[in-house]
Amino acid sequence: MKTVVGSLRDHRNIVAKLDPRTKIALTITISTILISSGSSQSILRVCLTLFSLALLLSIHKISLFIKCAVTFLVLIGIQYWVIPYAEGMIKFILLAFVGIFMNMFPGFIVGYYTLFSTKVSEFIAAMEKMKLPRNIIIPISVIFRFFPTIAEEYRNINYAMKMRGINFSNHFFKMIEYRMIPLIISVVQIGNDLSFTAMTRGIDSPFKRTNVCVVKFKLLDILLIIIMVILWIIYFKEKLFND
Amino acid sequence: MIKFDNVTFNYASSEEPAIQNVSLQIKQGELVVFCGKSGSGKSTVAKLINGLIPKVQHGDISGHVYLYGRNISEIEMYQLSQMVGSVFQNPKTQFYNVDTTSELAFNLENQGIDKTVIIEKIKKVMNQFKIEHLLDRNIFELSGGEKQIIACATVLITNPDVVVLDEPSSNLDMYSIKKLKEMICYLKERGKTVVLIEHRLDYIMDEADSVYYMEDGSLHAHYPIGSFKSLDRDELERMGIRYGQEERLQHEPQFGDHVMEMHNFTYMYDKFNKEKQLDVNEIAIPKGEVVAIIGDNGSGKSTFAKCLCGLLKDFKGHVTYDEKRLKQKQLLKQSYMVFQDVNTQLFTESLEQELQLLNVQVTETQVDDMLESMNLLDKKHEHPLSLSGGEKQRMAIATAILSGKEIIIFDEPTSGLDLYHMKKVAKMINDIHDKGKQIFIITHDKSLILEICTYVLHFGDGRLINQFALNHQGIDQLNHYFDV
Amino acid sequence: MNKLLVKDLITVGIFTAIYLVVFFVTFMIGYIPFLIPFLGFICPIVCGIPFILYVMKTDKFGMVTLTGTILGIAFTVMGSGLIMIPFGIIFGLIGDFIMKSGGYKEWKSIAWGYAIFSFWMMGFVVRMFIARDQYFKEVGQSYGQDYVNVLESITPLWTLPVMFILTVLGGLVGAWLGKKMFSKHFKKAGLV
Repeated sequence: MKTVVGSLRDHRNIVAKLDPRTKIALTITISTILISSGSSQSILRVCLTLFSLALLLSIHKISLFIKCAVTFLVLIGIQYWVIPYAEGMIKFILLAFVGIFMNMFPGFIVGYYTLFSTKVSEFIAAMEKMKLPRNIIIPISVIFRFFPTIAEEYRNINYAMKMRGINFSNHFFKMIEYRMIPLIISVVQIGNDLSFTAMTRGIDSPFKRTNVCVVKFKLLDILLIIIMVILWIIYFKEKLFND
Repeated sequence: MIKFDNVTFNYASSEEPAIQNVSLQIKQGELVVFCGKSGSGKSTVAKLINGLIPKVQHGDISGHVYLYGRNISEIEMYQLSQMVGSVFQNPKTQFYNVDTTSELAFNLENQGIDKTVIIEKIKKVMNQFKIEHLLDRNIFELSGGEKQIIACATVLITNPDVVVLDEPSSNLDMYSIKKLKEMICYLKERGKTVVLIEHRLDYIMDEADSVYYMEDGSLHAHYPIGSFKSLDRDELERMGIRYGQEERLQHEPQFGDHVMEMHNFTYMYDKFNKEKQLDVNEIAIPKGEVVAIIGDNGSGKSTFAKCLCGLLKDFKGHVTYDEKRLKQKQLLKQSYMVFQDVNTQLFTESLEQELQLLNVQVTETQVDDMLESMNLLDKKHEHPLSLSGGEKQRMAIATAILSGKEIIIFDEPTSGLDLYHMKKVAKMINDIHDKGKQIFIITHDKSLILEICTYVLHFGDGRLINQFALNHQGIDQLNHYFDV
Repeated sequence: MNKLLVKDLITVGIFTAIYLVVFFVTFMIGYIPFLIPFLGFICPIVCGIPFILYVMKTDKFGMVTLTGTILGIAFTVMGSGLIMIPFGIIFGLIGDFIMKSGGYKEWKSIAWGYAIFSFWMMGFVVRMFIARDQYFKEVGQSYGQDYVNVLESITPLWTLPVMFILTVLGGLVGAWLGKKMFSKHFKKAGLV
């Protein structure tokens, strides 16, 4: 398995390898447009939702794709077959529940795709290209670094709680304490050690950092950006027209 | 060349000095080993060499540390990071990045080195040690051993003149220890100065030049390698070092007739990936023994353990124990696992409360008795997470005992422990066994296995490769696996 | 702000990550439409636990501001609108100033600093009140007129200052809770 000259292996597919700036733009676009406009049955909405699900496939998260798709179908089901028969407050609650979910969920999916398919170094490279200050770049890269750690520690705590027989039925309010406190202590201690490690690897070097990752716009990025610009124009036009 | 001139240091949070009046000189190109019991000050020495003390970890220091004739306090941390490479003990906290390639490039990126140069260096090192398969991987999906290999590779790519390794072999399986040894030999061949802090010395004894023994913060002795090797076994044992321990079987196992069976132990974490992390149809083992579970990282050992504890929800297999058929829910009630990381197993604000947080009623007398036997009675009202690592581990074991459950599993209970503490833990586990419990221990620690185990399950690639009793033929099979 | 060392920036990252996760989980659980107005009360309470520890560990200006800024960026990206960024920056700054005035040690300034900091969450609902008609028109398009009627009826203009007060109260309670957890657990575990 010889590496390609001048670059190291990277086996993500073309969609997963979009420029991180494009991915962030996608997340903002899809979530903002979905959350605040359009009617539930619009083609735009359906397309955006399907697109977000397709992104899950591009990162090979098949079981997640299926779970999300089923969730959507269930919600659409409620929307068409339950809500019309409801009245007053219940109808309000159901509409809110389904509506908010359908609006926010695709945004979350695209966000998940962005986090999952992008290396932290790529984010850093993108942020450096966007000329963000170091005071923002370092904390944000640490946040990305810590999400999987928090998830891992949380899972371990859950296992330990199961072993002790702690669950909601016998320790309701304390559950928050039992979950959060060890989580915070563990994560903070890991963070302390991580600072040490980073220092021994020269993180406080005053030199200008280079980056092994290349971040630049390719054809697919430009295509998507053009589509997004069109979407935004439509979005604003709708808002202005309806005034 | 590294020189310590009468150095004394105590951490900001404590009044006891971590090291006292330490003076030593390490020559260029030497491979020195620091050993001694936990708390003897070895890690402090390491941090003084790579500059973490006193620049990042604060405290009171007197005396001087010199690197190539320069006082370390006059060198900036980022400059030190180019001169001294560090590999730490905890794979969880060694990585600033999430993917391996970025981590390998990290130090050189910080130095502002050109991208193509960095890539060339990475390729060269990964090729040299045949670890290209570790490129471009998610660090969270690597095993502990693979993580350490990446940490060492990072140092090699940076190419500093001094390398400090703090207990790099804890948590490592055989494959990883081999790679670790290769890399250390490589460093030595290139004339680098290597400072190695270790409890387990067998894998590196042929390469070391001298050994420093520390006790209670002071440098007790300095042995050139010849003298060290001729120390007798009792002396080594007193020093807490795992080296040259005779691999004696402590007792011949005698099994009763009862058998514990495991059926349909298969599990997939991802239903659509079709890859089974665990694929074992039937196992039958003698009941009531202390069973060691061995295998390389990723062989399915911890999946097996989690299935046995009933922790995995969609596990469909079952266990036959005491003529009872136990499926996932019953297994959860009958089993208890003591995990490797103690920090995520302690929940309350006092030791007393901790021992009462179980799904059985525990009386105050029982709590007191247990704390007494663990030597923790005087800390009854202290916070569990304020204890030392070893004390926390004893608490975790205490909860296992008080839970009253039948099947108890330990995940790497002795990784990173010196000989003395390993034996203490072994005795605790044995005491639990004497009460009639079924014990499983996932471990890489051969001495522990020889100390108390009577049966071995060997996993590989999700399957059970071998199972044997730990009698004389069994020892041969064990040695075969552990042969570095 | 230029005096922040890498060590401090890493601390900002860690605690902002924890805050984000705790906030998100609380937000999702209190997702039942009934509770949404009360989220402004509940979230600051729960998030107080990690936040007070954060403040105890830091004594430099700028860290809380950075946290607010990053939270604003994070939620803008998640679709809550561009307004989250100024809300995050402004209330991060104000909270930071308040805490600084007590040297990051005096309890009163920490509690009030956190309470005001928590106003960043108002960015989620402010559009319902400031650009009210346009907001309801948009909502009507996606949820239908019935929905808008009910929504409008349960959120008359005076609920905005009520939400503000609830947020402040939640912040103060959260600060108290954070302090309690700090002395009960974090301090003893040697985290500071």
